[in-house]
Amino acid sequence: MGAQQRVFRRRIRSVQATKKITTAMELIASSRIVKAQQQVTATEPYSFELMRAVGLAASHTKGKHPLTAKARLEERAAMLVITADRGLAGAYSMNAIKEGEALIELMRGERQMEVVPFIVGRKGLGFYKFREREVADSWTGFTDAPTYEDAKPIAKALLDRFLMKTEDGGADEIHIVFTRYFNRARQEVQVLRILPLEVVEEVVDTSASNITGGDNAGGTPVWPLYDFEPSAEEVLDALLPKYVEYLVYAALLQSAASEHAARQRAMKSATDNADELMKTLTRQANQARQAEITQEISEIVGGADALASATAGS
Amino acid sequence: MAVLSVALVSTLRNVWEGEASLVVLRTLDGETGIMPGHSPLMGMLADGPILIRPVQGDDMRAYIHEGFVTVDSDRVILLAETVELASEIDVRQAEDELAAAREQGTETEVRKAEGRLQVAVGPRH
Repeated sequence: MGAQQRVFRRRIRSVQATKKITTAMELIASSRIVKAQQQVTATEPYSFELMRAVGLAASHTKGKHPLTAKARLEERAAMLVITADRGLAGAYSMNAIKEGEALIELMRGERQMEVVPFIVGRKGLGFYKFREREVADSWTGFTDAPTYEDAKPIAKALLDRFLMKTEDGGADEIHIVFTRYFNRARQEVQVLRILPLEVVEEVVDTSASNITGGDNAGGTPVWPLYDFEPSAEEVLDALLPKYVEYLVYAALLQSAASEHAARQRAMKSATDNADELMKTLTRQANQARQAEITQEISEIVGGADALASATAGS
Repeated sequence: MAVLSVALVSTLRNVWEGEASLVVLRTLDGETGIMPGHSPLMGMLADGPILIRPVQGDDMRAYIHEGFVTVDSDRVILLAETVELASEIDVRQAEDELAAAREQGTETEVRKAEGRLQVAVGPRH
């Protein structure tokens, strides 16, 4: 076998090996999307009931809760950027980072607010570390399968920062930059302001208001009179941090599903690319082989001719 | 007879949903039994065991962590960070944890381990 042919064979083998890896990663990612998606759906009953409870407790308390009060000074905002721990997911992490950069720009430009970054995921952390930029706090190691336990310390750090006085470095607003998962083909980076909280005091369903009577045609929600244990204020105090925890958890889950979807897509195009490359290389290898054969034949024919003419001449 | 429609929901899933005649739980103020016709209530739950007596079938026990309860028009919603049903707790493991907690744990840890074991073993005879 000629030298050229050997080169092609070697390259084909290497592309084949890469393709095996990318195919495997594609399959793993697509099975994980399903799992991540199921987790997102599984938290829905909790979120529904939690929001209802928050609305209910809020409607029984007077005055503003510190977590729902509008920003005091608007000097500083904190942002949580959710990225991936591992690469090979196309532009997934970069998109979130870029959105974070845009948010920083917006805050600085329009509202003269300083932005304190909090990071989830090794890729985002790497981006900040490489540029020697300060990070308030970071968490890594769970982005592909986040649990509620992972969300708790993050929520706590954000809440602490929010409740801190502005003069001491506290943030007046907290935003989350995460990737919302719509379906396998569509994920979008979104910015969500989680603090100060906006409590939606939902319109009560009629079954719940039957104690206060049916004359609720005015449209204002009327809640039945609840007994609170220990008190409405304390219940709300306990509920709101739970709500923040839930928001962080939900953002982590959405981002995890998006990460898997992005990885699956990236690996699929890598596999397709490997196929294409193999096709081209095989053609080139065939051509090289054919050229070699042609050359050999012409050498034989030439040699025979020379031999024949030499014999005839003598 | 009226029944309670109960939903037990954790952050991970909808743990149980169904009709019950009695729910026993502990709010921060103390143990409460909820039966059909209870007045509207909203409270924080102390970490610990709860009991649900379904209309059909045997009593259900669960260990609840960081929970809330809402009662309204015979609808009971139990919301908790984690919920462990009795069937999900390994008695042997719970015993070991209790022993470990008694050995070198804080008071909360001991109480948690006791509560879980109590849920797992069921009512004392």
